[in-house]
Amino acid sequence: MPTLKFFALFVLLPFFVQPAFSEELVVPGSGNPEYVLGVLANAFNARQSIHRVVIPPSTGMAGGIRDVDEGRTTLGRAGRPLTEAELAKGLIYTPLGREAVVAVAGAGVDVPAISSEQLIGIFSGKITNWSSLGGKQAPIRVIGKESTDAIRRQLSKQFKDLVFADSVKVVHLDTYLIELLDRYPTSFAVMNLSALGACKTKVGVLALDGIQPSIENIANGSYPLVMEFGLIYKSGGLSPAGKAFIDFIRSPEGARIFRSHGVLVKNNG
Amino acid sequence: MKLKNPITVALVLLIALLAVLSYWATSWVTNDSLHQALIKREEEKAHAISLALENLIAAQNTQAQITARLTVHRHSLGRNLDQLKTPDNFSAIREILDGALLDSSVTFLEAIDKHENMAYRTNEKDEPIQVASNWGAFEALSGASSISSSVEMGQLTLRAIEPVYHQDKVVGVLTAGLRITPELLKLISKNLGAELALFSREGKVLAASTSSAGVVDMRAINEAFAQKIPVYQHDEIHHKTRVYFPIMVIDNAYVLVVDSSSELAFLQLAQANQRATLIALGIAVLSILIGVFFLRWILRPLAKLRARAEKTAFELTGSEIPIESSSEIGSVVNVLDGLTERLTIRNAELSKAGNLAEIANRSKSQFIANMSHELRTPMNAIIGLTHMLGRNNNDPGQQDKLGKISHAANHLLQLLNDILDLSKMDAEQMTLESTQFTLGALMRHLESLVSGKAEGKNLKLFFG
Repeated sequence: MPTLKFFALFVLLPFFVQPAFSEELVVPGSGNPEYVLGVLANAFNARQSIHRVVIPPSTGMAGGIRDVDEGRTTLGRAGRPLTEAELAKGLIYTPLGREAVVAVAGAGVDVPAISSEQLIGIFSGKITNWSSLGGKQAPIRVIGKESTDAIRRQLSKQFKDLVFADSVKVVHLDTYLIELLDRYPTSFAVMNLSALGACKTKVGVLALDGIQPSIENIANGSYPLVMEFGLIYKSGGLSPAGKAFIDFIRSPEGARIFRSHGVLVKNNG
Repeated sequence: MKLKNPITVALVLLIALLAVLSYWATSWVTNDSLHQALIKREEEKAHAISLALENLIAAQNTQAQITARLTVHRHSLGRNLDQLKTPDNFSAIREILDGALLDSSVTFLEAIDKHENMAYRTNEKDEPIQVASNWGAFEALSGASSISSSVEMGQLTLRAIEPVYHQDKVVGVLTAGLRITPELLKLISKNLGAELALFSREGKVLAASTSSAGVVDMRAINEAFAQKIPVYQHDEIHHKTRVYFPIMVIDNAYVLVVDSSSELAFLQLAQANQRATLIALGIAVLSILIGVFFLRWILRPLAKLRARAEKTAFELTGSEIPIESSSEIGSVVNVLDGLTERLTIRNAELSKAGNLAEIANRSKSQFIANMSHELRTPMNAIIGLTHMLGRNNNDPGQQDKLGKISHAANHLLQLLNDILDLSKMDAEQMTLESTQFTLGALMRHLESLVSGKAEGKNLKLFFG
């Protein structure tokens, strides 16, 4: 009889023991945290060899939600907290950080700062040349985001009367916005600070109303445009790789990477 | 075995029920999976088409860029654009651009001077655009080549914008424009088997492979732009799929609507279902036949058993057992029950007769025992008297006769004792005794018993 018990234990053991399986975790979704999460994923992959995290090009937050909801992946990128309707799908949002939403200008622009009124004027088509803002004679190539975009929402929340003129090129993914910023040296756009790292040209950050978008100004609340981003997963669906990646992001090394990209770490809850 | 046999009917119904249930379950699972697979296939096909269009547009764009770059290097374009003072300069530019247009497949060519004024446009009947709002012109005057897309003349227009140099200075801009026409979409549509339509953000048709593309769902277009992901619409009745793809053409976002039909696939699915139904029906019929024959084979020994039981019952009682059940097993049970009942009755009768015989046997044994006992008394008297006569008689002849009488009487007494032993045996009270005897005396006794008969038949007996 002890032999039988030993045999049963031997057979059943694999079902109860969870070995550390290797996993390639693809984290699709919003383009806002794409760059900084890409840096974090590289650091995570270099630090351990069990799992591999891949940050693919932006499919938009809706794409990330759809992929997680339909089970194509277990972890998605979110450029904002989930809405009630999105939470009703059984998704869980875990915040990672807060960062400045900044006005940026192409590499050919020498204007260091703008005011809120000027920002509204640029988007509404009333200000069309950098010379009106003290810069060189050059048309302002304005690039905007879709109305559902987290940054556009943040802008609309801060500037109630913000309207986009027809001349604004509206793109639906951050990838295209960065591409146009690089292509047009006199361009203007609003984006999250950490995404600047993805630009190939020297895209400049403009101070807003004289306030620089630094971590200190975000922390003390003096910089007005701030957005939050995080990760999403299905309730009970976080894989070991996902958990390990989130743990790494929340580690001192993750916080260091965040700070170096202008992100203020936000702990869950 | 007839089909009306309840077991056979039950078997047929059971097999038919199982066949129907298994067919229904299989069809349900398979059809659902195939349905989902077909929808998925339509979605993937639409996605592939959107990628194909994007690649085609990229190829068109490259074509426009090549045309623009070749044109700006044409002799005297830069010089004429730089001077642009006399009618000769304008006519020279016109001649260069018109010639280049003929040699290429672009839709139009434009030359802009260094002040961003239009010098010449090959298609002058087209509505003029504001150069200042055209992304790329200013950048080209700074020496940068660029590409852009915009909606012009109600069509998606690709622009390849190149700086025009004269004596190493930028003196103007040349634009090669190419429009995405319905013919282009028809070509893709014909090759990929789906209807395509390109829509602007405002919901205007920019190009379509079919005239029916005008009817679109603006909410879906807005959703595709807002959510930045494809919006799928499935017409379950007509088996059609419409996908609204948000696509980026160079620097502007548009929506590509892909209409694909799964009617053929669903028709093939229906035909496959028909075939599957026929096959399932055939399998069910075959199963029923095999089942019936198998049942018959299984029940054959039972039929033989029934026949034997019926025969035995008839032999026992002279009458047949009435069959009440119509099923084979029921009728066998029926016959065996009847036979058992009849055998039970017969056993009871035999038991009763046995008891009577036992009683009669005991009475007979008792009578014999009594008779034997009663006969022993006179026999003892005969033996005693014979002995007395023999003791007082000296006549040898009489002594011999008395001796024989005495032997016969003793033998008769022995027989009576044997009869008494038989009675004891019947009563199971017989006990064997071991006693010594003289064989010679026994033989002489036997001689005295049978010698008289032997002499009567002139036989001589010898006892050694």
